[in-house]
Amino acid sequence: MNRPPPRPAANALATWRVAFFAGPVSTVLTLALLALAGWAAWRLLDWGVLSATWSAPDRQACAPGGACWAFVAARLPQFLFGFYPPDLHWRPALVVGLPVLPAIIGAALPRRHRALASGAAILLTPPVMLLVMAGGVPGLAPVPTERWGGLSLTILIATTAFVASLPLALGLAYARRASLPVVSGLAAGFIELWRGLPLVTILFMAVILLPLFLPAGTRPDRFTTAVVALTLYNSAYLAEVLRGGLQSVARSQSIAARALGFGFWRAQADIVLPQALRVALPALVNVAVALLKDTSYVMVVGLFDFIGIVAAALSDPRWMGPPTEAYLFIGAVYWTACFSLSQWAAGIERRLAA
Amino acid sequence: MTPPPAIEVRGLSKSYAGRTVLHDISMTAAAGSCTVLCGASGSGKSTLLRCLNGLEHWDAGTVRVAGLDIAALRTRPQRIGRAIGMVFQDFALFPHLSVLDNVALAPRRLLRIGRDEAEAAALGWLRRVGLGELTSRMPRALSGGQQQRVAIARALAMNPSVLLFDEPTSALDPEMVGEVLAVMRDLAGSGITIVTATHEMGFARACADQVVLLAAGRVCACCGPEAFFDGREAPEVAMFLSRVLRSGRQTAS
Amino acid sequence: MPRGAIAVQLLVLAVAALAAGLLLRNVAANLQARGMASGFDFLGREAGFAIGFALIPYDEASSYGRALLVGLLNTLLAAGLALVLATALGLLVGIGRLATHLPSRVAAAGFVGLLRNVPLLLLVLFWHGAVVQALPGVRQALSLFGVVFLSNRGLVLPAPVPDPGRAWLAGAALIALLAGIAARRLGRRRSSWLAFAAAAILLLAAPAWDVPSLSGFNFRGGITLVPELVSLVAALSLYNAAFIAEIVRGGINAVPRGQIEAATSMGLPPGLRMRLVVLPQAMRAIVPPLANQYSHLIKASSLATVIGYPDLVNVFLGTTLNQTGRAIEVVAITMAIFLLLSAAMAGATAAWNMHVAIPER
Repeated sequence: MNRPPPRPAANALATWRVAFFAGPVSTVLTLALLALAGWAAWRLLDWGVLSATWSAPDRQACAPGGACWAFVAARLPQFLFGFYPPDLHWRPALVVGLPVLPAIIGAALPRRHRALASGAAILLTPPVMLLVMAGGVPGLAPVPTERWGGLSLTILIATTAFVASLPLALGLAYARRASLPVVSGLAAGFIELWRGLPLVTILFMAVILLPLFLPAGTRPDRFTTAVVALTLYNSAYLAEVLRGGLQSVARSQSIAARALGFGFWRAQADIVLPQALRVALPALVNVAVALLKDTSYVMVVGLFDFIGIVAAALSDPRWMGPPTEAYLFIGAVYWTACFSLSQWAAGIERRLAA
Repeated sequence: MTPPPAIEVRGLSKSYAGRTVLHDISMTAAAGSCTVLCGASGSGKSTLLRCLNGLEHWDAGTVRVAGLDIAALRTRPQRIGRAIGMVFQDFALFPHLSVLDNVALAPRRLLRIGRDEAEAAALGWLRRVGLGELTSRMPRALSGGQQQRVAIARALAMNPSVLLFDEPTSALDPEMVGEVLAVMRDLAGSGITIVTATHEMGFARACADQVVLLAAGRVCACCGPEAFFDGREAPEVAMFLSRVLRSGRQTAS
Repeated sequence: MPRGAIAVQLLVLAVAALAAGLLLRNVAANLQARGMASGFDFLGREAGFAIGFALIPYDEASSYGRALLVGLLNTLLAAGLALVLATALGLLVGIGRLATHLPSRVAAAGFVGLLRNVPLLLLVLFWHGAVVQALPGVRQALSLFGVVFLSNRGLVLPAPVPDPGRAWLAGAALIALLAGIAARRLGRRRSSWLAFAAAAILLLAAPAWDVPSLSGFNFRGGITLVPELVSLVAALSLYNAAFIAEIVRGGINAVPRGQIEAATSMGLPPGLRMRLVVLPQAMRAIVPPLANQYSHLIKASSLATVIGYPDLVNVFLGTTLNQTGRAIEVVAITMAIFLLLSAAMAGATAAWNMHVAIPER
């Protein structure tokens, strides 16, 4: 097979040509993709913006052939705050905004204290959120969990389950690495159990079984049940990530620590864990993103999270019609949150590799 | 009355996976002396060294270092760490801490010395090894020789009376071996008991009070440097010296 | 093991047993208080509820055990279809992300970036509520070659019906398949593809095909995949394809640059280079995370409940448990089935891993 030697691209124009019009197939594909992209963009612009109705009393008043964003606009407080008393909406609004606080704290402090302060802020976020939502202290009227819903509920559940699963996951990771076969076996069994079951099954099981496991009479509410189930589920995946991080720290580090006089747990806290967490951080964030998406499953056990409440609103007789606008809105919100977190994780990964 | 020896090993034996790694080893080292362990790879010198500070366990025999019964204290690394320090072939600096923090960490956490005091002391140790200007650097920005010197400062910061070196220059490029040996020579005369496993015969000739040759887990020779380098102490010594000199590993000291 | 290790382990076991015992005691007390019966005999009892889609014959008079089987088969069907589609699409998009053709690269990156950052539940709801419902009615169904029809009542395909008269064609297909395998073993790859193609054609010709035809308000004949199944498979395929694309991309990137340079300097054109040099080595890095993704896919099929597709969870953990109240038994069986599927997946992964591993010296 005699082919001429490949010629390097001579200039920018040549590179551009290779990228778009390298050969007949390539050219056809370029034109087809550009045409498709152009058509899709125009249809989206037309439907979503130009012909759309932004405010209307009901579906009939929306212009046909255009998006009915009025539906989203009209029910927005409910989508964000659920059935929370309207005059207290500042509380779930605070919950929605709170997760960015550890990031701000971390960025504002000097490097020396950054890790510790961010870590502390992350650990304190769920209790503060729960307090703000539930109330029951002087100054905050109590609001039962049945009234919680929408985006604020999603963020609350995701943050609480993630933070609660951290200590459990750390314990599991250490137990899994223990030299005692019983301990490591029990930990492995626990992890494989939660990783082998679908989340839908776990949530159903939690709702059915938790009342049976607890002493007769106690009846945990749906919110608590869902958080417990998600915590146990997430801890298994988190444990594997942490175990990978611990494994990546060279053994010579613990040996050197021991020679200096550090006991096992001291060495872990001061020398091994800081290194392990650095390595595992991108994967940790990815687990957090997955958990944020998985929180939507609580809809199957009757909680009105962000997706659940929008789906329920679709049965409102005033707004009967295609659910496209609603789902696009949900998708946009989730996409923004998840994409930002993933980009942050990718950034950490790039900085660590440098 | 002569002070008790800093290191006293009697009848030390260790087997691993059916192989005898150490066989009935006995040796002593006086306080403030410098002992060089040499021998081929696999002769057991690293293992012997790691038994001295309790990093390895053994099957029979007693080990007393700095007045401590090591066997009894293996579960109390804090006690051992205060009296015995160790420097490793791969330096094993803590990569997430600066040079200063590497040296100051153990005194702060284990000796409960305050941060400022510990950092001041750490600066002193770093100056002693010639790295006073590099305190805020991270380990990965340092050369191998510099990292090893930081490791020595880190071990010294706990004020041990015995310092063990496990082939400290074997992982270094030749041009950096000298700077580390210079630090070790400086320490050898300072009153701290030193035991080092090394191939650097120039160092042994210049600083050692006794040279111990190990082969297949046994002590073949244990004598002063002149007698050792004379080559007549034992046939194994002659063989070892001819091999070492032929491979040109002797460095000018 | 250090001294005292045995004692510590015995202590841990004792604590675990104590905790388990406490839980079981609570369970027994609670079950008794609610007057709930126990035992697995309910599996033989009549189910009394209909299932919208079943691969085996089923009606209200069938037993709960049969309902369980129907649900399990539905789960495997949805997962299997989605797995094949997701892999094909993911492979394409993954390679597309590394193409020199810029528009393809951008399109692939957009595909992955969009689908990986939205919840699967949303995709399932979107496909079911917005896409499938928006399909035309049965009368105006979209059709492919006049034998496949897509409408808001589902996807209708021709159904194979065993035909004794043409059974010999199936035998011929088998012979062609064996011939193809033999040709591969002998190293004659081109001939083997011919043989496989012949086997496929013979296999398609063997049964009599029940082609669906519109009659009245619905299709007669053929097999109907209900819209819930179509939505579930579409959503699962797209979502997992995005993740598989990233896995494929990572695997191909893991092949050392030197390999590609060596192949190029040998004169191999890009197609052969990918097929003979890059992909076989990339498989090593692709198989473990790919198997993990398959595992996720199988479990994610349980989202069927949300749109009413009668999978295992919907039929057994949902309806059956509600009707019989045998919480512990139903949960135990469901858990056992899923854990067995996970274990089977892990075993298949290990075998596949050994197959693609390149022995290192």
